[in-house]
Amino acid sequence: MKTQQEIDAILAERRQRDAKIFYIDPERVTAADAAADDGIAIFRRKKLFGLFHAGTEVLPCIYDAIEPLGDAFYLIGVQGQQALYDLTAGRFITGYDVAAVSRSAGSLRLTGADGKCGLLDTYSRAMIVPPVYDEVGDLNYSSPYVWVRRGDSFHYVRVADGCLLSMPMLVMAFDGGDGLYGMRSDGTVALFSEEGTSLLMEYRRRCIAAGGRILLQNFVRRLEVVADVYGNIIN
Amino acid sequence: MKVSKSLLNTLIKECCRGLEYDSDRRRHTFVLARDIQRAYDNCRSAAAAQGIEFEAFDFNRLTSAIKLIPDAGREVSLNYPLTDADLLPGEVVEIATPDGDRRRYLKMQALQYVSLSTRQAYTMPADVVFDRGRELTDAEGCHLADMDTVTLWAPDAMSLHVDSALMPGLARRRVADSLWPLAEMAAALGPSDSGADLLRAACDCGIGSHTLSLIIEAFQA
Repeated sequence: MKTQQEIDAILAERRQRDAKIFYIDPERVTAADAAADDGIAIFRRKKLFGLFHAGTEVLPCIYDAIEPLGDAFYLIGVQGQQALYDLTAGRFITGYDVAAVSRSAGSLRLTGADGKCGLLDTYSRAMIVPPVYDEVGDLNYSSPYVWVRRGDSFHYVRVADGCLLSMPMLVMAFDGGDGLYGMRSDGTVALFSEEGTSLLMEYRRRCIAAGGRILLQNFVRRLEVVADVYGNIIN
Repeated sequence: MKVSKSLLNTLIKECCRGLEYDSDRRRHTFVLARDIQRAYDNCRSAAAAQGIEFEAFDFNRLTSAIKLIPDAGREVSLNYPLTDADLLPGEVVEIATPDGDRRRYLKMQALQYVSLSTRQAYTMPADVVFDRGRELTDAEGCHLADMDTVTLWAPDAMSLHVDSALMPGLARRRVADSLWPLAEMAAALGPSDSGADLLRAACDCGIGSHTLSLIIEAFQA
């Protein structure tokens, strides 16, 4: 894997070469964001790709691949390595160490070359979960939290400010709930405060209000559990 | 023996006939399979199919746990004052009095409880609080107990497994607002009656085997 300096050197050399062949008109490859049709297009000059907006060059034709991800985010490839580019902000928001990007509700799920995952909110355009975790939950606008896994333990990240909320030895966490629910190593579920304290009475009240059962889901793991008022999993 | 949930469900179905009348206990309870040797053989085969060793010791442990369901449970200490709204119908409050006496009250519906020791029903005052150091009185002001400690008597693991095996769909049911119809059904059940309808009715009320056993104990015997 090439370092950022090596990539920069390759791009600098390509930029010089591209400037010398300015007289060759770049060929429009595709509308970069066909759904938006806002004048953004990918162009190609001599096998290398660039990005243009309303006829103006945004990224020169010096990249091996440009893949539109929607919401004006692009995956830019150089010699088999990829980086994420935000056209709205006009800047790269990662280095060339992105192995894969997939879309999930309102977010881009990033997997780094080291296998670590992160989450980028496509609405606020902020990296709410940096790609340093082994697994990340789905972003859900009804929940102020998203779960993350490091090793065998699950924790939460507060979406508003990206703060990691360390939880006490959770073996599972859940998506989209109205709080920090987690499964402990004894197989029971509980509701936790941001400080990681079990909120027994609050859990009990929520469970009673829901008819004696709480439904918790982990969309990434395709897991659905129903818990009773004591936190026992009963499905 | 470490088993998967689905295997345990299979084992429970092999070992337990469901809710039937037990002449020794003189009430409906979760009774064991009649042909216990066959149940054991079937359990061994089911476990072997999943590459799990299943010995007589495991079988005995499983059948003992099923037999003990009416008496089994675990104490849950919340260390918070509990109002009536903090409890679901079917939950049991266990009160230890200063003289060491233990009394269990099963919540039947809002403010209505049955003493599992005296089988007497009580209506509690609207502001009832189960909390250590307080006095428990009924709605008419009659003294019931001085509360030294207050705990909840929750279902144990085996009851939950039995629910999962014998009461499909229970997890999706809301707990009913009142358990009196279930109690009346349990009281009306005769020795020759099958417990299948009662088991189904309990499931419809969102009530598992733990609470159902307590209701039967309070209203049938």
